[in-house]
Amino acid sequence: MKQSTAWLLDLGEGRRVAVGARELLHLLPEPQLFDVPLAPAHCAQVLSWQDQLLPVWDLRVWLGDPPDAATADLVAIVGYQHQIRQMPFFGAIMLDEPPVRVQVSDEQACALPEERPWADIACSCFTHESRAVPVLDLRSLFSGNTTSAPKP
Amino acid sequence: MYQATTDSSSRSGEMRFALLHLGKTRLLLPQHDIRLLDLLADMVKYRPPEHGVGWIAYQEQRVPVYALSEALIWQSEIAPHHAICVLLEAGGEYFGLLCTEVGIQPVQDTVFHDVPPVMRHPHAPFQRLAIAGDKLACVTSAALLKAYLPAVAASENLSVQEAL
Repeated sequence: MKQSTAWLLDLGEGRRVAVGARELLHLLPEPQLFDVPLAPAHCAQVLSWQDQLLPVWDLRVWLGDPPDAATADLVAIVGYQHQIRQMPFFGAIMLDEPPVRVQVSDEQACALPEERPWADIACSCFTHESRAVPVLDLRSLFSGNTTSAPKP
Repeated sequence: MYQATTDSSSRSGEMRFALLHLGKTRLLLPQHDIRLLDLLADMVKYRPPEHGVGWIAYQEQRVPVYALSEALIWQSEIAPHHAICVLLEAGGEYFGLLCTEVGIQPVQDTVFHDVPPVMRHPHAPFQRLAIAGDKLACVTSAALLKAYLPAVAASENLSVQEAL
């Protein structure tokens, strides 16, 4: 039975997504965030990290939480490549709690939830503790071709 | 009133930037795009231009003045923090922009970055971001702001006396 290692990213209120074990690079508590005008509500801030400006995704807002209610106590710095052997790109994802490392088997595979267009930003999904956990496609997440957060 | 002049003493090839404060939002633009700094009190508010907030006089012309919110949305009212009118010139056309304050930003203290693809707005008046000190600024220009104007922003060829 094939197993893979993943990081569970906690978005609060029982909501979770996952990234690959090698995609989570760094955790940043209480980051200094900068607002960017005219950016989407779910990705309206950047942070400075290693001389780069990283976009900060708030999946809670993308799922329907009001932007004003979002707090940024912890962010995960993630890395991804567009192609093998290319230099990596980086982004950030807001978290509610520190991530948890888990082993995931093929038997846990399930369909993506339907309440949001998860296919825009997730490549697969698995069941964990009776809940669906979308696996983020970081290239798609940070590409800019995603559906906006629902209107409050 | 402060009239901007070309600074012949600046080092050759070194662009100088001005930092415009719109409340918490900051715009960084080339200093040579600025023609004039004027006080809000000198602005004529009677019959403001469409989508604008008033007029200022410049070189015997009546120039429309606009106001942006912190979210870079055009406002039809003057906000309490608006204090200065910055007169900009792009392509031979003039327009004014209200802001909270204006400063000079040294290039050597500024780090420029592209706007991340996921954050780009197709009609945004800025294409890059900059870290100036410990603050973020949107890198723009008079040309980009002019293209972002909500309506025709050409200065009307009226004498100041007629405007008043």
